Amino acid sequence: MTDQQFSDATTIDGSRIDSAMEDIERHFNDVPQGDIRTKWTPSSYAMSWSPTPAGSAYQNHSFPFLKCLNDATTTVGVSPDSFANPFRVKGFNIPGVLPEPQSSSTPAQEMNRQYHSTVSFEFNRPAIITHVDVMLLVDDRAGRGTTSYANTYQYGATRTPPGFNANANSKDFNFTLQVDAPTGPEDRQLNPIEMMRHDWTLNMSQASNVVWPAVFADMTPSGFPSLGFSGVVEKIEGPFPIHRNGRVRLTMTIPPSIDNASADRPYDSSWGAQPWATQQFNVTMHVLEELV
Amino acid sequence: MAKVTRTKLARGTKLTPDHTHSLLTDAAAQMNAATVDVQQLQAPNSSFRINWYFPNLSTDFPFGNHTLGGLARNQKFCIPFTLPPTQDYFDADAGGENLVRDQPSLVLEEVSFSFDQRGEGAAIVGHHNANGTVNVDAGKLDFEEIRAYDMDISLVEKDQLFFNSSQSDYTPSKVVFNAPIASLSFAGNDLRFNPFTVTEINASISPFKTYAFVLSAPSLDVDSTLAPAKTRPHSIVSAHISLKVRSVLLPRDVYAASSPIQNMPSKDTNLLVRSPTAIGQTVAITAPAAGSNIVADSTADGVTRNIEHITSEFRHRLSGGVDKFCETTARQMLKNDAGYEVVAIPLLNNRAMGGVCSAYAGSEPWGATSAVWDRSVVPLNYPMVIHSVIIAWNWQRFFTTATPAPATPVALRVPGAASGAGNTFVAEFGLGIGEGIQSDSFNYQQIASHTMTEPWVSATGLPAATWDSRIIDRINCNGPDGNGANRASAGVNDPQNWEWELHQMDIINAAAPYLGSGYYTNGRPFFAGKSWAPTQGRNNVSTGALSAVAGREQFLEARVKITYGGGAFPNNDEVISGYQGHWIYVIGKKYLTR
Repeated sequence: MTDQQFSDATTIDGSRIDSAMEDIERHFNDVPQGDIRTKWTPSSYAMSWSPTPAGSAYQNHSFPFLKCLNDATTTVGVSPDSFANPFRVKGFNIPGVLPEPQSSSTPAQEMNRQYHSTVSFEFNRPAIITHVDVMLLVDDRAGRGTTSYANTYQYGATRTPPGFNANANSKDFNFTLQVDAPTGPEDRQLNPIEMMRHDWTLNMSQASNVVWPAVFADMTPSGFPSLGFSGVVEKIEGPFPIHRNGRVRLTMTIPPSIDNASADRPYDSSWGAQPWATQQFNVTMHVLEELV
Repeated sequence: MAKVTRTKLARGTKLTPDHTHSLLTDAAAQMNAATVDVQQLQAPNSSFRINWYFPNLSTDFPFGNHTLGGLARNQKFCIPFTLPPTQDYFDADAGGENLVRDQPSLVLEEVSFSFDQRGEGAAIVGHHNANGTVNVDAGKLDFEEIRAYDMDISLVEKDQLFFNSSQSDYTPSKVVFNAPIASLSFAGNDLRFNPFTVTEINASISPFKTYAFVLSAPSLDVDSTLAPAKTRPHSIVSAHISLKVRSVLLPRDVYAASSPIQNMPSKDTNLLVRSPTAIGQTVAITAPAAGSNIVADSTADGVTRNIEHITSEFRHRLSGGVDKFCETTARQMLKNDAGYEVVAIPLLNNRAMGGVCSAYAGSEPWGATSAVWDRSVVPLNYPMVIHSVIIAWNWQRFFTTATPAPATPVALRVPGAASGAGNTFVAEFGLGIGEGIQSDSFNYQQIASHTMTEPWVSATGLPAATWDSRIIDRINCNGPDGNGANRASAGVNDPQNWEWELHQMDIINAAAPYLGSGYYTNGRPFFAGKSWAPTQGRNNVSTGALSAVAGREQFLEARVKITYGGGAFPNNDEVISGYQGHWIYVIGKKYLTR
């Protein structure tokens, strides 16, 4: 608080004492942010939606999920000479799926293309992302109530990716938090990865290993049609510090749209032909920001 | 508590303890009592964010030059909110508001808007064709018509209906912020302004006004009148809007039997401030005895020694607040250690038709139950005390989409206007805390709820009293007619088709002492936060018993249920839920943390 230090047997004068007291007075009456241990406050980013269930007559788009590969086949009109980011997200590989063409004569097949949903945030002051909670909610596992969302997060019985048995638990959903590189903000290859959930068994993150009981203390409006909820709850705890002017991109990647009857399919999947529609999505990000 | 002051030591003055130890004693007294005030902080404000996420905003909303079904063209999409004071500062009734002298001010600092372009300087093709069919190119990149993203964002303000029940104009009266956005901002190869962020706005926000974020995107749709003609519909995918608002730090809520905080942890005498005095660890300044010499550091009353007592506290840094496990900070010196907080929770967004149209309500999730349901789950990672819960009910009209073109091309009218049975239209909202994530115990505890019935009475074109029992405001950003559900009524002078309504959702409140403050009857503030064993012990909620989750809450859950007569929804063009759904605003206090 002050540079002045007084010791016995050394010289001293009133100016130094007054200077010391002035330093302390000023500091105490104008406490710097850095002198507060608990200088952060949390904010919640709640993002959720219940898509139109798979198989509905009106299931008519995959939004907010968009194809993972940027090339001429996913472009209307004239394509540019080259794409800035053919792959715009790092680390979304899943077993059995090869999104890019394997040779110039073999175009990538539609059922090899995953879907990304990316939401972006900008922080003009340093911030800390403390939690990223992703919940893929399906209806009651016991089959009670009315079912709109069903996904067992398993591969099929007859065709599985290399290394997996029939009906094995799948590893086909990723999410990641990446920050634009200050020196090349639109070159996604340069993006630092702050967090990645990749190559993981979804069913190891069940919402609960216990089926919701038939009777529990409910809230109103009571009697949600699916009774309880099941599915996948993956809570990632940071901290992930974000630098000043950081542009953060949170991406979820779902598996390709797989027709389980097609001969071209890379594998059988419980996500089915409309992978964006087989569960509710609940995504919450918690961020700490400094006092201002 | 005022700032500390020193006695100045002029040249030639005799040195006394007043010059050296008084300042230190005053500083120590403030630290010991935990009364270091916000006036003494360089950064006295906390910030909070109102975050809205939309999986898509597309041309099934009448953004552009699109006439199918008779909806007006070039309509603006809007989302309203209000930021009422926390209950300790809430002093208002229908006659007007009383702003108290120390009412915390709210200042809009920053607006941010972002969406997904697949990492390219391109637009994303939308799914809704002008004739109502589905576009087969939906989701593809379009490098030719990036002008789809010529947009304009703004924040507008209006007075609230609650304070003037005869208000007949629901249009905003003031623009707080506006930013036109040229699509070139999103076209670059090396730099795109996505997120598009405007900082240092510094616009004052009133606690008893309604605000709305407004988005205009007139070029999103096909438009043959443009030169060259715009040929494809486009979509704003994964749209995220964030308003950053700052507010001066607030005193934290204190539990008392006469003014309880529902579900408050009982540890540390109900999270009482652990000041150095309270925990018996005071900062002790020893002043020289009368007549004794003032020394530097050889005795306990030495100047440097006592300076060190204060300096040492600053080296360890001042503290306050409650941590993520609901533990109050171990040794608190800050007086105000809470901040204003808003958690915006979406419901009924991203439907197949943009919103819910009565003719297609049966295809909604769980639609076979003859009810439209939705829920959102928000894990609790940090505690907060909930002071108000506000519903933003959405009436925005939209085009329906299907292939082949849907029989009912537009969601147009308010429930009842076509069916004649508006009195059977019921919307129920609830907010609760729950347990059950990776757990073997499953329960909910209600925090707030509200039921609204009969949004349209034929005689007036207005809602019934049972719909408006907790009305705060109506807002119409596309005046004068509005893009809200059409409520024209024979013999009535053109009631406006307002787009949104704000309603209070009552926090549970059985009787005194659990009656709190709000626009209408409201419960006392409700604590919500995940705990560990020491902080699981809680105070009662207004039922006079412990919460049904008994201090084990893991998440907030918002729910909505809409029914229409108990059976299938009528096959007509009524708006059951407006374009991109409703919002629940959970408003209260959060704590400083680290």
